[in-house]
Amino acid sequence: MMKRVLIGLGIFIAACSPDEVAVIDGDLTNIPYQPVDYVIPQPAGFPSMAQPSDNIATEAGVELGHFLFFDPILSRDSTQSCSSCHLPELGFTDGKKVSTGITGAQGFRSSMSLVNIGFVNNGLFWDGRSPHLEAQAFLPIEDPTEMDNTWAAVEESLRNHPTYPEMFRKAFGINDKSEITSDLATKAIAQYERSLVSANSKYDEVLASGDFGVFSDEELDGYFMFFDIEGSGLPDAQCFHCHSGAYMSVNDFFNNGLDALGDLTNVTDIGLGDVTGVFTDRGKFRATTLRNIELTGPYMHDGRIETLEEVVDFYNDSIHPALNLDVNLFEGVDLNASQRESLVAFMKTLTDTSYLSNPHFLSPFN
Amino acid sequence: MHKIAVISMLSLIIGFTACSPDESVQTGEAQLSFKLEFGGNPLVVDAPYDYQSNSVRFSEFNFIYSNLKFLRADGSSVDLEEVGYLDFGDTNTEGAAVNGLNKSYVDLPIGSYTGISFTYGLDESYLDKTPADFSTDNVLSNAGLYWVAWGNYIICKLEARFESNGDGLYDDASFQYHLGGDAAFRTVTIDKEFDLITDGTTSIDLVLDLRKILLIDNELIDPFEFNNTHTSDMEWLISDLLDNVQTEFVAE
Repeated sequence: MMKRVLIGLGIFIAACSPDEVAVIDGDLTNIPYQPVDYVIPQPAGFPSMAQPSDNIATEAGVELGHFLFFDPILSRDSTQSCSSCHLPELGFTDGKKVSTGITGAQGFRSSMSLVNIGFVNNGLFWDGRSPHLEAQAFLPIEDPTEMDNTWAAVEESLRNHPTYPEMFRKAFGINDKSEITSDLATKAIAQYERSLVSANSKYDEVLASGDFGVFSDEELDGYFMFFDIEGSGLPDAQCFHCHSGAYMSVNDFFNNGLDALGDLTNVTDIGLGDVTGVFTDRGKFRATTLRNIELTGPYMHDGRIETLEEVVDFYNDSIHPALNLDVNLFEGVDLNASQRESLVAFMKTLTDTSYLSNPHFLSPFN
Repeated sequence: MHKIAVISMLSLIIGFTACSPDESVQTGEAQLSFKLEFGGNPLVVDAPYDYQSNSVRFSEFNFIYSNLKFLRADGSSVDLEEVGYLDFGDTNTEGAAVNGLNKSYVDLPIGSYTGISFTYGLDESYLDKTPADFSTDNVLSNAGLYWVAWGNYIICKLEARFESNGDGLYDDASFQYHLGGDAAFRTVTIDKEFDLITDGTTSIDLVLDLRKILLIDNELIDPFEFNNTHTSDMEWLISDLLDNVQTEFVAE
């Protein structure tokens, strides 16, 4: 008799309590969890990409991240995804001075390129405030000038989604959809971002072959000035101090003389200094990659410069003094018009659009 | 019979344990504190110091070292670290400058030692290496430490800005002494008697006075005359600076 009462009570509770039903429905253990490592490409000239030990990329993890990256489910009104500000056709930037969020509110810095972002190892965002991709992916969801959502709401949406629970199970081996968390979502996005490796530019062709004949004369002159190759008879354009290596950034932060910051007491956008609290870091920003720089304008952290030609003109004519101006810019840059054109021509050899024919870089919803 | 077998087995295990080489070597710990000075005072990055008739602020000092080891009187040595990197960019307060950059080493054989040795820079075995030979969690993958034009690592960066006109912007002169090239390494040997013990950490300060590094023929290098080391005609300066580094580390 007692047994029948208990069984009856159980059925009653299960039928009437949404929480209890969710627990029963949330069981994912019937779905196989068989993780397979994702092999991240290593193009010629690049270091091998280190991954965090608690988030080694898997096939299922990268696939999940791919969907999450392009899914507007992450934003409060389901109108914006990560890809809204990181469009593949624009080198994963958005072509705007500063990005616009779901409310129409504008951020105050320019969208950054994501191709080969996994090779960055010294702080993400223009001011370096996120130490790694997992931490970076956490922030835009709740930023009122971006997706303006809450992670609690995102977690609920993902748990109740028809396909994501299975994908989380395959990616991370969770047993129940209630285990879907912001931590796992950002890990998946980070895995996908680390997989965005592409190096098929003319510059890469030279790196791989060592054949500088691939460059036109104009591009070669630009290369000589960019890297200050001795014996070329061309002036030093001072670029390589901040933009070098296969990733074309030294992964560090500089004041490149955009504004007359003087003794640094009046700085509008403090940049790195806001993160470190160090006075002489005020007004310093990340030296971003120059890969695909042709596609990623407007330029600088606030998108103030429209074209590559104007960027070169700025370094040639308009560097402002400041207490922390990078010392490599003290002497200034002194290129004539033809040399400036050559420098731009070289930078355009960093353009690689081959990834646009790779579905892995495009929305999985199309 | 069963009891005897068990006792015999236990004796065998105890015997093996007693003879394990790992157990026979007693180990201790050491901490090396690398500290910068300028004219005998702790060097605070981005703080002003007198320099000839000017004022100077050092904005960057970093270097790669390799083959770090402790030396014994009998000529043997204990390896501590194959490759390391020190960036003094964050020693921008008096406290940070006094503390220096600390490196800890554990499981070192106890006993008496007579010195410390390391290569300032990377030895010949790294001449054909590039950042592509390393993983992004290795400092040698850092493109900022590699000189594309010369095909070598920049094993040390010393940068400073100078004030001479009194406007406080420290933009009247600068130098960027980036040390690289096939011969850009020196073996540094520092005499220092010390003991490693089982209980406690042996701490040693390794102090480098940048003013002494910048003396050529007993005169401080003129930044208005020698601004950088980016061309082959300045290899002499790279060599002179490295020669100074080789002799000016002091253990305290």
